[in-house]
Amino acid sequence: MDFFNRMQSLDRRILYVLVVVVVSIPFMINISQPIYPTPPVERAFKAIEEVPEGKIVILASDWEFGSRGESEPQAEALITHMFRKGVKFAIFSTNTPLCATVGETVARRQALRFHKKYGVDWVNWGYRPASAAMLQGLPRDIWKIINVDKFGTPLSKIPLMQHVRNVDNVGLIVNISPTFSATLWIDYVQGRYGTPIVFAPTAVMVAETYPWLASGQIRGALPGLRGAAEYETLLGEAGYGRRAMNAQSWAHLLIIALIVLGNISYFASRKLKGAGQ
Amino acid sequence: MLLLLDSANRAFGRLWDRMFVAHKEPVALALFMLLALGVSIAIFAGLQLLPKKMKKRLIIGGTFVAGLFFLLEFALPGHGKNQDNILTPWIPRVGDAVLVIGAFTWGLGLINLTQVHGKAVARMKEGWYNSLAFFVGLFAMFGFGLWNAYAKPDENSHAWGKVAYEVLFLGFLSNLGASVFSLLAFYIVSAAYRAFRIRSHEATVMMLAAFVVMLGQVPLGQALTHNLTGPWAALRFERVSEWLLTGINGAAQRGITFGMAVGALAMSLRIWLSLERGSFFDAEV
Amino acid sequence: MSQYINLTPITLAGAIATIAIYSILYRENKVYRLFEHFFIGLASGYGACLIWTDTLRPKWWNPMISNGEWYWVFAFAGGMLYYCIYTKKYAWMSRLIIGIMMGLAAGAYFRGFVAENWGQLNDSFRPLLVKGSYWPDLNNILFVVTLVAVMSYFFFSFEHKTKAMASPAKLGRWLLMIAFGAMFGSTVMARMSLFIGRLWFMFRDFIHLFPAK
Repeated sequence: MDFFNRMQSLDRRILYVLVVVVVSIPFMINISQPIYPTPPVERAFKAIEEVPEGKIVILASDWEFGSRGESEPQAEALITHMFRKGVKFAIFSTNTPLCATVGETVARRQALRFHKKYGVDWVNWGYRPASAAMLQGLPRDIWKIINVDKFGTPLSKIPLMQHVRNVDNVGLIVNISPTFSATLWIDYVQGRYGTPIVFAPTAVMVAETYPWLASGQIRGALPGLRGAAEYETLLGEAGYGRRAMNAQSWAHLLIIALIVLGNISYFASRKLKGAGQ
Repeated sequence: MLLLLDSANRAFGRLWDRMFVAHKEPVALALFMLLALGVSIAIFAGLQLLPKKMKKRLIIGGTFVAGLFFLLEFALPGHGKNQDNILTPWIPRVGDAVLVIGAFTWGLGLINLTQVHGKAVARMKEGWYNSLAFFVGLFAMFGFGLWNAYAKPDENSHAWGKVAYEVLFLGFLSNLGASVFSLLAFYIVSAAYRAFRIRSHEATVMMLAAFVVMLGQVPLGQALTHNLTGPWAALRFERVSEWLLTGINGAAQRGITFGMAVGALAMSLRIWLSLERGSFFDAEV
Repeated sequence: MSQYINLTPITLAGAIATIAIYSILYRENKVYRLFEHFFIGLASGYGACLIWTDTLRPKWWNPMISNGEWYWVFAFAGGMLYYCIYTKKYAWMSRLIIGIMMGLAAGAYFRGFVAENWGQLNDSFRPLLVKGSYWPDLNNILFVVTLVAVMSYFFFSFEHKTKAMASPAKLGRWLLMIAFGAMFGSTVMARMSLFIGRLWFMFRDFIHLFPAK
């Protein structure tokens, strides 16, 4: 009984060290497992493939450093696809001012790789506080609501924005977010103007995304890090997402093992306590 | 009736455009700005003279009229592909105004933080050096952030301002943010071992569903059942997981969403009609 | 040394920040508190900077000063009403501007409610028979039963006394457990992803422990 009690009150620092060791193993040994894309990710991939010629994508980048572990691989995969396909996009944030800057760092990295030019192939509209009024005005007159890009250049002087005045020139909205900010876009853009949405939530929001996928209000989704890894598979890239998913495998097995172990010691100590009494 | 509203709207629009004309000449601009400021102060001074009852009614009226704009824009019949009506062209202007007015609220948070930490530093309370670290971070990031925005250094520049900005932003801010949130991983491990006890049948069902979803979303879990073929392929972890997420979870989440949506609608109605009660809404004017 | 460890200022700062925050896992300590406060200061300072450069300067200051749009002074006056909360005499004016902004948001929600839930409602009425046959569509039946059961569980307008009300509510509770299990399973991945990102930074970008491929 003493053994099971000691098991239950195991110092949590031992558990923390165990996590570090277990999650590090797949990075050291590189045990690679295949990743099979699921329908939501395939639909997201298809949505970007089908963006009409001459229309841009609004990359609503609402993530910052707190969700970097998941949102950054998602952003990398999506931006890689858009650059590769030649789809032009505008980074825009409605969450916090930091989000537009963070999204831009990913875009710049990929722009170097694909030799894409700012203002011609992509642009950063910066941050505007999320409000119903702003999001209702945006689809009608992008130039008026956004006015200047993140660096203070008027949209009228940016080559990419010459033919982008309203929602008719937007082919897709891609929202990368740790919160369910896709509902703002559904409320005021998709619901009224029918612009399709691809949503890349962190894994916490994945369960809540499925009703919207089923109704078609969200066209496709990249569920967390897994979604990023699946997207990399579709792109044929061996990126960070795929490596990290191997580490995820071991972490998940550890959690399951700990839950089972914790319950075994709990029930065992209870049984022994009852027998002792 | 709609034609009448439409003509009134156009007339109002013309009057608005005539009243609010831009003046680029510095003297005219300064005069108009001072005039606008004076008018604002006069209005606020006049409002201050109102009796208490009228002030409360003004707040209720202001809330109602503000909400009425969007409600009418939604409810009034429209025309064309996007169902635009007479109020739709005003949305960008309202959007702009809301954006700017909302941006000024940032100062409230900063003032509050400055008060709390300023007191700690001034009175040398226990842990005052933490509050000093707050101010160092605040002014350093604000200063170098502004420098970076105005100086617009070249990508290859090694100006000290740029280096300082990058160290603060990419070095400290990004990694501090990521680290703070990553602590949750350790806490979930600790909770999984110490707190998750299957004490009831419902908890068993919950755990089993969790195990299936967890194994279905990782490559190792998928590999465990990948050899199942034919009709048995439907029992692969990733397929069962997808079925759970799409089917039962999807329906349950939708049920929760409907409940929340109706609750939010009721709340919106209460706020719009100033029926809401609480310390803020019931506070004396 | 540089082939084993990256000592560039940015990476070094990041490593120090990560170790300082992770020190809380060992025990409560002053280093963690110091960096926690430093983090709040950095975030607040950067937020304030961006509010000026991304919103106020392009949308308010430049149109007002450079384009001569003098009427933006009224927006400034409106924004300053928030600060009346600091005075007892004029505090009611802050409630005026807060009320107006809340009213705008409340009014806008009606459109949002319809846009969000119309699609959801439409999709909820699913055919219970397979198209073109009399075979029951089990997936759709399960979906509709789950939806109705969960909604009845949250229906508080009258008590679940009768079996007609209590049974669906009880079923709803069981089905909710499955949904919560699915949510927990997803949440584990989310939390682990954040930590894996930090591990990658520490043992790949800072100390070159993990191999490149």
